[in-house]
Amino acid sequence: MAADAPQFKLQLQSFEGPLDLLLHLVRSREIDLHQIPIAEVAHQFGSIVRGWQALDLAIAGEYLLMAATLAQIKSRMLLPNYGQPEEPGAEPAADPREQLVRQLIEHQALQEIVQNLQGREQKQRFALGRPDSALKEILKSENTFLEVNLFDLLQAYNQMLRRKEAESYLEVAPEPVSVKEKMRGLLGRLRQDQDLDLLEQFRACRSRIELIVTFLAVLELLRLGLVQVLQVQPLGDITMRSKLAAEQAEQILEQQESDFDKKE
Amino acid sequence: MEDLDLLGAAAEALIYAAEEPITTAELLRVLKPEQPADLERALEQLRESTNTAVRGLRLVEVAGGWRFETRPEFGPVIEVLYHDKLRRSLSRAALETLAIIAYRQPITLQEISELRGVDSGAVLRTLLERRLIRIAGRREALGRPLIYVTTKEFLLYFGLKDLTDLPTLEEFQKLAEAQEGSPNPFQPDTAPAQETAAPAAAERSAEREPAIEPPAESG
Repeated sequence: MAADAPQFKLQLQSFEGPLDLLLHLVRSREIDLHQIPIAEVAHQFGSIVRGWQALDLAIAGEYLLMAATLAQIKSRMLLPNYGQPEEPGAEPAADPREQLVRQLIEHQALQEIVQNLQGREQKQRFALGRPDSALKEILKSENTFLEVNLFDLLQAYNQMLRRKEAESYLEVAPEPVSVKEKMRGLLGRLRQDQDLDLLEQFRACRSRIELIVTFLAVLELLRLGLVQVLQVQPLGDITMRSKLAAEQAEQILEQQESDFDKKE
Repeated sequence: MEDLDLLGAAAEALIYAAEEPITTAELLRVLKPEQPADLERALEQLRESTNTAVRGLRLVEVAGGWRFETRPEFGPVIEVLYHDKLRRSLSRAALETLAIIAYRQPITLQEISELRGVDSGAVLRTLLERRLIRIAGRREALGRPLIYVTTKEFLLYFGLKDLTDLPTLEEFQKLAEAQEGSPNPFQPDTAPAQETAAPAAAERSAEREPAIEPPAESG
């Protein structure tokens, strides 16, 4: 088959997944997406994927799934009643290719959008705004804080966890700390110092378990709305600050603890 | 000097001094012109005065506000200045994923992977790290999956005023139709499940217009 000839030049890396490869195959034949000769395309797709496998390339499972889907559609189209109503008067059976065609069209539209974004990206690459260093000095007040999101917190936590793995200590005796105690400890310190450096709190942990407990305590305090976490600049230090007055915080904490005990 | 010129000059100072693109509302609040329309005229005048090949900066409306930015024509000299320090462009996988999020937000990882036909977890992480997207909460559905939306940085990165500044899906649909005669490919075919922290979702199911709502302030 002449159409098979160039397939050896097809590189796995040049495709963003099976839909991409399939669209390429259909396009290179210049056929209407709605009239895909499924048997031929399934054969071609299968032999390309087998070729890659023979080269020992790590093929993502998605390609194998697509090859199987194509084979399934092919066999369904071989059934005698394809295109005929199953019973007299019933709707004709749907074209087995329908879903695949829809996916291909979606993928095609997506490529148009990607091209458009790529054009904008190139155009915008050298459209730089004013670097904000000039104002840093006069604006060092609390309104320059960014609200930290969960993703930032997790990053900080992961950073510390990795560091803890590298450090080693002589462990004398296990010192169990509960999340409850940690929460109280953090709140207590917040009352004294107003602001706490979150990374400093993580750094002060002596074991992995204490680090995990501290992190959980921070999340729990956040969830209860007792503290807020702020960041001066992206990837900068993360500061924790108390949000409520001491008595109010105490109330919420006690409520929470009694709820917790009930559950246990 | 006319009053309008003075107003424009004051606006110019504010736009330069602001940390982020400054909104028209903010400019109005600070400058208190007699007529809000005066400010608009002053800004337009200012934009036109910078809109010339002999200026290195231009005034643009981006990410919901105004800012000065370098004229892209001078990219080559900026490239010399920064040499290798400029960020690499996004990969095609990243752009594909970003495009899906931009047009279908809020959206879950699984939905993105289905649309792309490949697992997109790693790409999503890169986009999160570059702050082009953020987690907007969870969908109230089985497994409570995280939902993702684009950020203000996304708008800045692509020089967009807001999300409606993206070409509409209809335009892409026409492109696709010209080739295949297809239905609107990115039209959600089921009503979206109830979302947390995603007010745009309700509007999306209500109208046939593309689901393009400016995202909430980026975190």
